[in-house]
Amino acid sequence: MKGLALAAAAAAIVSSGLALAQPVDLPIPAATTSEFPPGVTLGKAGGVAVYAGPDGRTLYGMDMRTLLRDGADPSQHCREACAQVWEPLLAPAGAKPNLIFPMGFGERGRAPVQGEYVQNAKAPDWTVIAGPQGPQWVYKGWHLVFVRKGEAPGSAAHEGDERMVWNTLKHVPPAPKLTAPVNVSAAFVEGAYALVDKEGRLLFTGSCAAACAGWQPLAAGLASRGVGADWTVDRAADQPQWLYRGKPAYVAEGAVQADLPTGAVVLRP
Amino acid sequence: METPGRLLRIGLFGSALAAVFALGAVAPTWLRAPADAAAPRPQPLPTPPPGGVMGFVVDSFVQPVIQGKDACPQGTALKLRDAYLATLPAEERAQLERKENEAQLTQRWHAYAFGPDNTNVCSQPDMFERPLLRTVQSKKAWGLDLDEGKTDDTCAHEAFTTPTGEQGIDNQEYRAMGCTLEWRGVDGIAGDNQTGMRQFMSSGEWTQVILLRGVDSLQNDDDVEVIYANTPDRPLADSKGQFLRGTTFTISDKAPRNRNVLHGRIKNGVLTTDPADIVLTQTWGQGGARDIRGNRTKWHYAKGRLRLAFQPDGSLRGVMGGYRPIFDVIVSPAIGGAGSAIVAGIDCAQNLATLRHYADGLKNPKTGKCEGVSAAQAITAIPAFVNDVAPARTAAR
Amino acid sequence: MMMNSMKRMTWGAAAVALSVVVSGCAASDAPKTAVVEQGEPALTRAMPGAQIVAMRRLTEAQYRNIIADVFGPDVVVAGRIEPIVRPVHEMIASGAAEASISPAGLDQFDAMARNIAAQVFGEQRRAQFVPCVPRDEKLADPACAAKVLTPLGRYLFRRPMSPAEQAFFVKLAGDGAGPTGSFHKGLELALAAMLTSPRFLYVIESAEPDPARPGELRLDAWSRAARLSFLLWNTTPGETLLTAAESGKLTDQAQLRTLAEAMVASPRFEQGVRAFFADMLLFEKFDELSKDPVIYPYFNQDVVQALPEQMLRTITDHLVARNGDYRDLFTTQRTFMTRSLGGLYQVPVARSAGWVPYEFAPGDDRAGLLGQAGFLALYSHSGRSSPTLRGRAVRELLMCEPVPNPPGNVNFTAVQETGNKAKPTARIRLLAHATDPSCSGCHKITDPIGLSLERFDGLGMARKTENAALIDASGEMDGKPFQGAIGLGKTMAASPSTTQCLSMRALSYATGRSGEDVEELVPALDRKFAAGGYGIRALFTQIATMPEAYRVVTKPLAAPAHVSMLTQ
Repeated sequence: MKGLALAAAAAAIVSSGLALAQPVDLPIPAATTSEFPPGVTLGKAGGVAVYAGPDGRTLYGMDMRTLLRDGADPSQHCREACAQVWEPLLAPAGAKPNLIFPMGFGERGRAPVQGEYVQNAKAPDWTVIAGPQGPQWVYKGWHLVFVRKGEAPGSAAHEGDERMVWNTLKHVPPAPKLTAPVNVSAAFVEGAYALVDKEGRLLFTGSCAAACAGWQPLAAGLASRGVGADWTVDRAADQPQWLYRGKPAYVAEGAVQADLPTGAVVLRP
Repeated sequence: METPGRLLRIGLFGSALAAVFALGAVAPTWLRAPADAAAPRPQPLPTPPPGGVMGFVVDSFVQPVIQGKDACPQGTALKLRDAYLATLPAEERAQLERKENEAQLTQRWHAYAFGPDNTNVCSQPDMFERPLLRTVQSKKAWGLDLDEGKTDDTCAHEAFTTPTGEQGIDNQEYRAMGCTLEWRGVDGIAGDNQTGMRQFMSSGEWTQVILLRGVDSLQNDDDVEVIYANTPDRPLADSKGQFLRGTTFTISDKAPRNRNVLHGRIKNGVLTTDPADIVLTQTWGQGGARDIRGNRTKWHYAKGRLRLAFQPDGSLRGVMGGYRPIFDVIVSPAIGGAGSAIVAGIDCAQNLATLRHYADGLKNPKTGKCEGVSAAQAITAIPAFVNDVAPARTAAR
Repeated sequence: MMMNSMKRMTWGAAAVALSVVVSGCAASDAPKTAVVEQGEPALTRAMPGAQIVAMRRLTEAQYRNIIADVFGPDVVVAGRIEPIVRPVHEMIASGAAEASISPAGLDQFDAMARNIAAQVFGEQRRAQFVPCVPRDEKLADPACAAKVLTPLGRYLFRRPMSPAEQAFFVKLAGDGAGPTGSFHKGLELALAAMLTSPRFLYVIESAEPDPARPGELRLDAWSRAARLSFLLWNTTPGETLLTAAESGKLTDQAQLRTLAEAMVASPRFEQGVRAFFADMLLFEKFDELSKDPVIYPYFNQDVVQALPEQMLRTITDHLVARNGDYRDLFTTQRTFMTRSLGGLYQVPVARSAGWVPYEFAPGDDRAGLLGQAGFLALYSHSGRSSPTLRGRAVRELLMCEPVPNPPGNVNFTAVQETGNKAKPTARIRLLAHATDPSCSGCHKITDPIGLSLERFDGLGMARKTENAALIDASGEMDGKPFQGAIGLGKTMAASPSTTQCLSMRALSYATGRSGEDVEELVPALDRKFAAGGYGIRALFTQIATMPEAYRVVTKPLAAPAHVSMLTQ
C-alpha cells in the first residue's frame, strides 16, 4: 500500500512538472504575464518565439532539476567553467530572492518559514533566486536564466545541451480571458491561440456546400440566450448550435489544423 | 509543518520508490531463464504471414538473474545499515546492534547516507567513496558476446558462460549488481527490480513493440528489417494481468519518441540483429513524459543487439545485450535521492563505484577508461499488430 | 434552515410524478385522484379542449438528449433512470405507454432534476438562461421568474404552458426564493419541479376531432410535433417543430411530409435510428452482459461498452450514411473497430484511439450484423455459446416470430457439459433436444439457425474447433440450407419476414402500440418500404406521415382526467 500511495503522490508531482517543461519536444507552458524583467524582450530563435536579453541574445534556462548529481543546491551549479561560457541574467542589485531550490528528504538546515519563498511548481513566470553571482532571474520556478556568451542574437545553438540542462526559454503568450460557453476554451495551437472544445478539438466556421452535412455543430441549448457579446444560439438549426460572432461554430476532429475539413476557418479569440 | 519544498522533494523520493520498490503491490514472480536462443527448435515454426510483416509487443523485459547459492556465496550485498556497521570495529558494532541502542544505530546509519553540504549517496553518488558491493562469483550468466573477443574499445573483464554452455558472455552489469537484493530477491523469487519492471510493462509506461519486415521464413532469412520501438499504448491484459495477443499498438510519432531501425537475420529460427545503438524510453510515473526532475531516463544500449528465438506458439523469446552508460544503471535510485538510501537501504555510491570498477565498454578515447558496462535484458514478446509511423502506416502481425 | 426548505420544496416537486404512479397512465385507465388546488394544475385545465389519449414515459436516452438540447451538452446528467419494463416480444416504446415510476425511481428523477437545475442556474451558466435582472437577488421576483420559466416550460413540456401552469411554477420559484434568500435558488426549485413533472417525464399525447373522419380523433399539433421529434431524432421538438405546431403545419398532410422529409435528411436522424435499433435489438441486455473472464480473457468493460456501439455504427453507417438496403445489413462487410475490439476480432486497428472503419475481406464469415461480436455475445451464456439463444433471437427480434419458453422440467446437463470430449461440439450436444419430443418442436426452429454461428464462441471470437473437433457451421432456416454467418445473412436478406418485421417494429416504436395493434397496417407499409428500396429513410418518412399513425385508436381518458401534483 505504501508503494502505491507514494506512486500516486509522484504521479501528481509529475503532472505539475509537465507544465513547467521548457525542452522543445515537450509542451511549452503559457506565460502568465506580459510583464517581463527589465531588459527582457521577445525574439525568435530556432523558428520559435523565445525570450531574449537586452542585446537580443536568446535567453536560456538552466533546468535546476537536472543538476542534482552535482550538488544538493543546483542553483549554485554555474561557477568556474560554467560561468566562463554562461552569463547570468541578474536581477536588480539588492533584489530579495523569493525562490530557493527546495530542500530534499532528510536534508539539514533552516526550513523556510511559510510564505518566505514561493513553491517552485507553482511559481509565477519570473522569480529571483540567490545565484552564485547575485540575485538572478528564474523562469517558471526551475529554469535559472542565462545568456550564452558570444552567441549571436537569434541563435539557439545550445538548445538541449548537456542532456537537456540548457533549454531556450520559449514564449507562449498568456491565454486570453474568454467569455464563452462553459465547454469552450482557448488553446495555443501552431503559433496562435484558437478556440477549442473541452476535448481540445479545434472550433471552426466556414462556408461549404454538401460537405457541411458531416461537420459537427458546436451544440448549444435551445433555452440559452447566448454568452457575452460574441456567442449566440441558432435555435432554428436541426441541432441548436452556437454562433460565434454570428457565424456557425463547428467542432473539428482533432486539435491541429490538419484535422480541419476543406473550407474551414479556425475560430480565434 | 511541511514546507512546500519539502513536500515536493518527498514526492520526488516517492517516485523512485515506486519505480524500484513496488513492494507489496505485486505477488513475487518466480524467475524463468530466457530462451536458449542458440538451441535448435524442437517443434515446427509457423509460416510467416504473406508480405513477411510481423508485429510483437514485449510482455517481459527483465534482468536475467540466475538463482543459486554459487552466484553470491556470502549472501546478498549489504544494505546501507549493514554496510555502515561493517565499517565499524567489531566491539562498537556489537554495542550498536543491541536492541536498546536501536535508535542510536538508526541515527548513525541514516547519517551515513549524507555527506557535506546536504549531499547524499544517491543524489550525489560521485561525491562519496564507498567500498565495492558483493558481486556475482559464479561463472554463469545470461547475455550476449558483445566484444566477440576484440579488445580495442573494451576494458579488461572476465566473460561469463551461459547455463547452456555458450561462452564469451559480456554482462558486467550482472556481475556488479547481481548480488543486490533488488536484483536477486530472496533466492528463487524475483527481486524488486523485476517485480517493478513487470509493473511498468503492464501499466503501459512506454510499452515496447517489435515490428519485423521482410520475413520470408522463420527458420532462415538473411535479410530482415527490425523496428524496436516504444509505443504510448497501454497493453490490454486479461484478468490475471497477462497481455492479450493480437491487439494493436501504434509507434508514437510524438516526442519523446524512440524508434530503433535494426537489421537482422534469422538462422535456425533465431533472429539476431547487427550491433547498433538501441534507445528505449522508460517513463517514471504513470502518464508522465519525463521524470519529475526533468531527467530523461532511457534504456540506452550502445552496440546493442537482439537475439530472439521464434517459438512454436508464435511468440519471441530471447535477450537484448549492449553497453549501458554506467549512471543509467542507478538512475532510478538516484532520482529517489536520500529516500532510496534511508528507506530502501541502497547505497548508490557503492553501486556506482562497483559499476565503474567492472566497466568494460564505451571506452573514452581521451582517458582510456571505460564508461559503460555490458548488460543484458531477457525479453519475451507476443504477437500483436503494430502500426508504424510515417512514411507509411503499416498494420501487421 | 435553508436545507430544510430545500428539502420540503423539492419533495413537493417529486410528488408530481408520484401522482402518476398512483393514477396509472394507460389510455384506457383513467386516473382517479382528486385535484389538489394548491398543487400543479391538472392537465385538463392546463390543456383545455384536449383529450389525453396516451402518456409515454421518457427513456433515459430521451431524457439525456432533451437536457442536452434545451440546456446544452455541457450540463451533466448524473445518475441513471429507472428502466422501462419491456413487454414480452414488444418494443420498450410500447412499454413506455404503460410505464409507472416507483418511489426509488422517483428519487432518482428528483436527484437528477435538482442537480441539473443547480447547474442551469449556477453562477457559471445563469446568464444564459436568465434574461432579466431580479430586483433583489435575495428576494422573489415573479415578473423576472416568469420571463425565465415561460420559455423553459415550452421546451420541456413540448407546448406552451397554460397561465395556470405558469403561475404555479412562478409561485414555486417565489416560495423557494424566500427561505433560501436567493432568487436563483428559487428558480432552481421551480426548474427541478418542472423536470419532475409528469408533463416533462411523460410525452403526453392529446387528441382533437379529426375533420376527415367525423366522430373520430386524431393527434393534435403538439402531440404530432413530439411524435415526429422522438421518432426521428429521439429528442424533444425544437424551435422549428414547435413553431410548425403553433402555425398548424403539422395537421396539413403536405406540410407534414415536407417537415418529415427534412428531418430524415438531417444528420440528427442518425440519433433516431440508433434509438430505434437499440430498442428493437434489446440493447438493454448489454447492461447485464457478463462473461467468465477465465474462459473469455478478451472480455472487459471496454469491450462491453464497444459491442453495442459497434452494432449501432454498422447499422447507421449502412442505413443512414450510405442509404443502404436494410436487407444488406445482414451481409455487409463494413464495420468499425476500437483497439479493444481489434483484440477480440484479432484484426489490426489503424488508430489507437477512437473508432476506425474496418472492412472484412470478401468471403469472411464475419459479414453482416449477425457476425458481430455484440449479437453473438449477447445471445450466449456466460461460459459457452448458445445456438438456441442465437436462433431464438433471430426469430424473435429480426423476424418477429415468437418462440415459446422451454418447459420447466428440462434437463440441460448434456448441453451444458462443454468439456465432454464424447460430445465435443454444441451440434452434437444439442442432438439430445432434437430427439426429445418435448423440446424438439422449438429447437428445430431455433437451433439450425444458431448452429451456423458456432464458429464464433460465447464472446463472439472466431474459432474453428471446439474440444479439438472441427465445427460444422451448416445451418437451415425454413427448409433452406446455408453455411455460416454469411449464409445466414443471405437467407435472412431473402426472407420477406425480415423486412415485414422491421416495418412492424418501426410502426410499433412510432405509435407506442403493440405489434398486434399495428399488424393490419404492416403489409401496406412493407410494400412502400420495398418501393423505397428498403431504405430506412423511406420507411420512417412513411411512418411519420401516414395518417393512420396519427389516428387515435384507443379510448380517450374519461373526464375529468387529472394528473395532479400533491405539494405536501
